Amino acid sequence: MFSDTINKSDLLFKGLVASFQDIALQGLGKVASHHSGKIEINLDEASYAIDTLTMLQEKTVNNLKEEEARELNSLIHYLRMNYLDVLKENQKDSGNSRNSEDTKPNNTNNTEKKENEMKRTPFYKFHKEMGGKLVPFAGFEMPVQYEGINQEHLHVRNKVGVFDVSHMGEFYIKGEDAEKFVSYITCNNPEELGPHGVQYSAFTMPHSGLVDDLLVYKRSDGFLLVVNAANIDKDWQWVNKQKDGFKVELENISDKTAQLAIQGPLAEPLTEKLTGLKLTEVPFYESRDFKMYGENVLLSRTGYTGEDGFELYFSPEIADKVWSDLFEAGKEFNLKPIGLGARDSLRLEMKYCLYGHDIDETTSPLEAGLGWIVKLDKGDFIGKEVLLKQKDEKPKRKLVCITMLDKAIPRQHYKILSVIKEDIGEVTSGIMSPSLNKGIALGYVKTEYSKIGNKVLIEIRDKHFEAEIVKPPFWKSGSHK
Amino acid sequence: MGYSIPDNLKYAKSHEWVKVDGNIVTVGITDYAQHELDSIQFVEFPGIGEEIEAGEVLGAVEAVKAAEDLICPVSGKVVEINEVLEEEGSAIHKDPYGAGWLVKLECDPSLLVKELKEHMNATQYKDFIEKES
Repeated sequence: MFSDTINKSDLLFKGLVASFQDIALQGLGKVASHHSGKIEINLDEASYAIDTLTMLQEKTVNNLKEEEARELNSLIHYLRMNYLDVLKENQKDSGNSRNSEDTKPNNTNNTEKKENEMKRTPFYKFHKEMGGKLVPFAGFEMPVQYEGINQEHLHVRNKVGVFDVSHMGEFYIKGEDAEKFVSYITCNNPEELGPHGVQYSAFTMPHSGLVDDLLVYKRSDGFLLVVNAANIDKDWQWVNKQKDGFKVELENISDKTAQLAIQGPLAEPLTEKLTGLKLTEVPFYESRDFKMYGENVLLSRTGYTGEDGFELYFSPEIADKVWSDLFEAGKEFNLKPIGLGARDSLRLEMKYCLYGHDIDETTSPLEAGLGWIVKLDKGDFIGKEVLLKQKDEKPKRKLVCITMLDKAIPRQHYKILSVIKEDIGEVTSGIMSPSLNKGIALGYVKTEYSKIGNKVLIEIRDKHFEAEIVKPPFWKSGSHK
Repeated sequence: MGYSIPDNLKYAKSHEWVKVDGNIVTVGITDYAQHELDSIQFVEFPGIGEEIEAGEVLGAVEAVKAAEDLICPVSGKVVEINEVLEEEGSAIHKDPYGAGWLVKLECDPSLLVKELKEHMNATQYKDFIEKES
């Protein structure tokens, strides 16, 4: 079962990673050079160290403990972000010697703070009261499940459930150039949004990798961007770095915003009862503003489950009242609280990507099947040039839906093989589908193997299990509008 | 926390239990372990007749969110597996020390005595999981 003994090779591996981390940090000017004792930026050295760590990561796939894999992943991620920052700074004021030490103490403080302080959402006490199993997630103590992932999953498919998603991040963008700016930093086109419009989009990088995926809300005075909890700090830095030359004001309102997602075929009558709004008039991916208990509430017909549903944003000050009244109104609908576990299985059955698994800084939206949010006919945006080229050349790999034919459960990082056992890709998310009672997965495969109906093999503990590439989504009877 | 820990069993650090009956040893996973794994779907077993040494992988428990290796607590030959669990794993949640047993091993008695010393009794295991959780 959970063997967590530390053996010698674990320690050696840790040491090896630490030594390349050290080289990278010296090269990035984050720590003084061991030779001169001074801050000396050497991007070639940093790049070599980061490449070596990436190679180690690739070569040790499936062979690391979950914690080791996570640590290595976040280290590489951190180093890459810093590498890009230093590269940019260097290009901007090349020749100007910068006092890099200024930034160092701040960085260290931030990470230390994060490790010690686990954040709680305004609904924390309700999760405890209702028997939620709380786990650390993106720096928050979040309920992973209440009565069980399968039951909660099916409850959302059949009735209605509520998710506390207050950990998500919210940035407000205002100012004369707000639309131009949002269009420049995201790949979808905010100009297409009507006055109440909402769109799914992503922050693209110059090489077409993704900083994050997000929702963009058109507001009367600008835009609201809703980002992944795990990426709040990174995204905030990223958008602030891009704003030079744009007349915009940015505000990070993540800590001032509570969010609930009410999802399921009964979401509409329940949410009508709670809010007094006529929701038949709110189409899919549109929002409305109204008041509850004298405070502003933003509602949108959106979600991450494949079922009909609404997401509500409001001040944490009214969180207690909203939760209590929601469950009061929810009695006749048998409303239940749903944890992050079922959130993951529900989204996976719909092929909705999860950042950090199916998409990240190394994946292009075109490979991930997100071409529909990449608007190459709009004005300039970060990554456009590379994406135009990729579109011409066709991506070399594709994110596909895979259903197991044998009884087996695919998991992240499992190898995908062709029927004659060539290595053709890797699973990025996998689960025993509660709705279909079959193992299902998302994974990248070489484009030539990505055809619907193609048979593949999934390698699980050195054995090979038969699977098939299927048309998305896995769950086709969702109630979403 | 109120986990069931029967007195007549031995416990491995990786949360398998061991019941000795002559030279036949029954292996399962503990109440604590089944609580940690949400909705066990099925179990992947070794073949009957396979010889497995203590510390080697005996099989895997496939839950909704994760797969966990079963570590063989004592060396022996697989003589019986709980076939029901190949299809459906809920018996482990309902009755981890009874209907949810996993594998029966035939062991060499003198080696078994030695290997059992590596494992914990109920009191020690109780302390162990308190520290872990």
